[in-house]
Amino acid sequence: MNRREFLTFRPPTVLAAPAHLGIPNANKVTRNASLTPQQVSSRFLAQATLGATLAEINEVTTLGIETWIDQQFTIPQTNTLKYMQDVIFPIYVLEDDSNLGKAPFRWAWWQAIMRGPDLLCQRVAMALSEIMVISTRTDLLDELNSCLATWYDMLLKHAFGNFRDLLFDVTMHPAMGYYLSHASNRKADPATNRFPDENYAREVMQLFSIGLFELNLDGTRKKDSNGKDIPTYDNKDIKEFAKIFTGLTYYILPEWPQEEIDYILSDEGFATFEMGPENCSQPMQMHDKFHEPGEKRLLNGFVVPAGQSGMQDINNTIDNLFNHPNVGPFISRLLIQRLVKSHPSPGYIERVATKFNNNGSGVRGDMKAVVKAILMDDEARNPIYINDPTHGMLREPFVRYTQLCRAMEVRNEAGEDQFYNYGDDAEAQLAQYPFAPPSVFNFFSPDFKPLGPLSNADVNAPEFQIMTSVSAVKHFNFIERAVMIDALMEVPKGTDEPTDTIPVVSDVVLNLAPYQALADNIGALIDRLDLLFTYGSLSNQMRAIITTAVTSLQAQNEDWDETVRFAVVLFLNCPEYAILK
Amino acid sequence: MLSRKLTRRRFLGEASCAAVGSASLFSTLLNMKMANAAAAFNPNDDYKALVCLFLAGGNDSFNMLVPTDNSEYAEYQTTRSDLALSQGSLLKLQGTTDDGRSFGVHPVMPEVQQLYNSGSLAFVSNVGTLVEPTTKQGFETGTANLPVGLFSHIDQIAHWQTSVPDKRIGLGWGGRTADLLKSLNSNQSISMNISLSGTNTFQAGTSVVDYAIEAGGNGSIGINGYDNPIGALSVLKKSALESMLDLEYQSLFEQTFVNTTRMAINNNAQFSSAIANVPAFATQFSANGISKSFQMVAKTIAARQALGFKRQTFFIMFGGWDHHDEVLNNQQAMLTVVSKAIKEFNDVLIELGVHDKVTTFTASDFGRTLTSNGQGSDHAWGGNHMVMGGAVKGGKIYGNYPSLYLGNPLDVGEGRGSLIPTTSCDEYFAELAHWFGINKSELSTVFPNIGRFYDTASASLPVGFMGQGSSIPPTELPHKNYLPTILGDAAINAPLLTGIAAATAGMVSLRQRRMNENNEKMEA
Repeated sequence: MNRREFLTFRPPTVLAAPAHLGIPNANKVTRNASLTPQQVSSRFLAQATLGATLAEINEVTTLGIETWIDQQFTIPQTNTLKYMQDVIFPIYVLEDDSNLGKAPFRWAWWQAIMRGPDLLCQRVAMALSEIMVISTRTDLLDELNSCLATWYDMLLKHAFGNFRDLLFDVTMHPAMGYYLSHASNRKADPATNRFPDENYAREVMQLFSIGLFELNLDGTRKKDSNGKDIPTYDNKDIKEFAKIFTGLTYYILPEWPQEEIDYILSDEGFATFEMGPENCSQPMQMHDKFHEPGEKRLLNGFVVPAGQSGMQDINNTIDNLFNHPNVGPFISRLLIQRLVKSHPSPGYIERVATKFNNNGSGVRGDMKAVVKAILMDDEARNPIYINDPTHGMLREPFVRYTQLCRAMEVRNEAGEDQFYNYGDDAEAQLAQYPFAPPSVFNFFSPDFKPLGPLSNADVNAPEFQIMTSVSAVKHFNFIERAVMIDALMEVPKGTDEPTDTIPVVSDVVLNLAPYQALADNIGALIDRLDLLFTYGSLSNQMRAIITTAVTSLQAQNEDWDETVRFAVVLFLNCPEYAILK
Repeated sequence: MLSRKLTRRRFLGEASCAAVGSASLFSTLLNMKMANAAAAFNPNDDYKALVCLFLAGGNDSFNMLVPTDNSEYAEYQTTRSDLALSQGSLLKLQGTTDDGRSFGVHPVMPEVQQLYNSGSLAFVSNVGTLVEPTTKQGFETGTANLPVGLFSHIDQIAHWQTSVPDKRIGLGWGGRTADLLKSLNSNQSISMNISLSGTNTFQAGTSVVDYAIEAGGNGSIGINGYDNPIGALSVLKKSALESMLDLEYQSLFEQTFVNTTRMAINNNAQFSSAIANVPAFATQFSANGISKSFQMVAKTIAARQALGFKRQTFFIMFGGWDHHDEVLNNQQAMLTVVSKAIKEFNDVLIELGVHDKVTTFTASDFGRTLTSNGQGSDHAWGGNHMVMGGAVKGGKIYGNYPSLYLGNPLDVGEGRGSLIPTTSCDEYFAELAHWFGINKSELSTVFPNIGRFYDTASASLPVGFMGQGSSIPPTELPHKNYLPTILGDAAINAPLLTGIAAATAGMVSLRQRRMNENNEKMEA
């Protein structure tokens, strides 16, 4: 192909059908929904992991999906705190996480993503991190690496545990106590018009457990006799719950000097006590002298009696919330949205919520049963849904990034099997970074409907809330650069040279070796990438576009690896990859 | 690894070529637009912009605007307890209200004090979401129709953007306004609703979605090397992507993805070249994101004729006001940012000769409880707001600043101090929309509940803070000659090329350093 041909080149556009308003268009792009067993495995792993390698796809094909899930339930979970302490701190001769900014946890987290065998657990923990939300967009949390590591480890622990324990540990975790300000929250002092902080009381109900409205088992809203939604709580309830979450503060080390402890437990000291590297990884503690006495009236007529200890009050309250009939449908829907699809049918929510309410052995809140119900459901598994126009989800920007790294088996060229990804550039470019949403309402709302075809059809599509004219282009550029020049991960700015402000590409590269043999056979190359990224569902039109473009590059190009990289860029930015179906 | 390096060089090479290519491609167009821009500074052009500064999380605005007379300050101090600002620290606002009361602003807002005293800024007091005029009795007996999800962030943020608090809807009053006024603009490809803070409800209309830009660079960004006519990679990439975007998809999700990408690509070249042609402002902006966002709004306004706009709305969200804890310290830092940013914006509007054509207003989820939870305050209802611009009848506090003693006739906080709003969002926004160009007869189209608060047949305005304004001539500034300097391509591209060289050099040296460190470790 000569230069002139390049300038005028365009893949066959006859494939594009003209729009005919109101007339069903037979030429609208549909995807291939007839999948091989290997492609079925890949589709499953796109829902169940943050990215899978060819070997992992083959493993699922061999084991079968359900057996693979059961096996995942038995794998020891990643421990990011231990990794940080054993591997990262010693490199820098540190005893704790001082002086390294946010690097240690970010490295440990990336190591877990890239090398942890607990793929399903980590996917579910990432989903939970977008329901039980803290954010590092605060001065303190960003640099308290041990606090973040124990937070993530806690999510991992309960991803396959029980929801009741999750809700309890979330409530007691110092990261949450700091983020929603119930740490150091004192009982009322009528003399100075001081009242308990209502922040956590409100959000634990609205966002972490029951939501705003009474729900049916299938997630639809119950209605009163006037046909109106029924609120789950009112402002009086908030004030009662606020009383419960008083008296907690950060962990006090027993070896601290007594006068310091005495000061912390004084009225003034308690109000201003803040966590630091040494006490940010232990749960908060209750101090009854700061806990609101008296009875508290909770939901559904439940009364916490006067005279109990603060921890008894909290346990009663967690039970009161956990046993609310809303939790099953509310949490099931949010997890389905993160793993499988944006707009699940009421039947799908009901099937999962039923498992939440009873795992089959009489246990409520069994997360393994919930996760399995989500992933084994016909609405998740049956390929017929691939061509349901309202099925699927926009893959989260960050998950597209982790999938690139995992599917392309990136490795550290410098030899050591560590990634040291600081991730600042990704955070700036992707409109999403784990544990860094703009507020407790996560990166997007579960009820968001982008204007246009989806809002016209009344279909929720949360992830589109962060796809804008700005972020769409930034995402494209970030992925392209990452793939074309191995700008995949980033050496921390703060460690090589504290004052250096130039973003620096690390030694992490794509593993292209398996593709060298494929580069001469574009059809086989496209097949491989279709398996990895679009699980065999690529439409004929998309295949024609990518094939034509990649073949044209290959024809004038002596670099086989450039051909492969270009094909990967096109796959990762094509609409059929962006939308997981 | 040879080929990897080749790829890297080629990629970087095309990226830099891309810049040269697109600059050359656009330079003719660019020069024409610059000429237009130079002619654009006609103070009589029919242009109006509304700028919404949304203080997300709920600004504790009874510490932003505080009564200073002894008796009222004493009430304030008793109620707010450990959250009370000292009387002497408040910055006094000139004059008194019609009923003879005196007020001051938060001590970190000297710029706001100055804007108020010079007549460019007004306050509207105790504004909030109301379904209908509401009394304490109605609230307590349950007979009043109340906003859906009162006191919750998600709902209140939505209501402040939709102005329809009795429903949960996805369309905002800025969007509905744009539906009615967008035909005034000759540019129908770029939305008249421009957001510096991504997707939002305020600017969503039936036929209008926001166009998202960012504060840095030229506001809009494009795909690297997209219009590079030389590089094979770039040409093929563009061809492939354009082909993907030309298809029609059965999946509503895929179609939405394609529509969003298409809009981003189509608008980029036009928007960013218009912004690139705006001459530097004499007005200096602070380095934070809020000031930079206002600066980008000003650049967009300066490019209004090149872009073909007579009406625009802008949306800037400043998050982090949910001060359940540490309200004094945090609010102080954030009000400092607000005060400086809006003063800078006010100054640049004077510089551009559009002071009376642009009205800026604040919004926020709700006011906060007057009482403390121990260093913080919780969700409440009515709050105080600022309106700024040459068309604003400034130097005045509109609405009714409420009494602050606990249990007063507006307090429904059961001891916490949560005030029923005395001016509805409908009244506040209808006044802005009317100034912007919505006829009184059309106000109920944009604000379906306005009739409950305001007779649209009335000769008076809903609140009264907007006037017609008079244009302030651009101040005598070094940059008053707006004829731009045409830069050569080399000059335009020099910083970019230098940047790439620096980045590449940095890569090598730091990689080398790490390898050295590894070697040292191994030797040790």
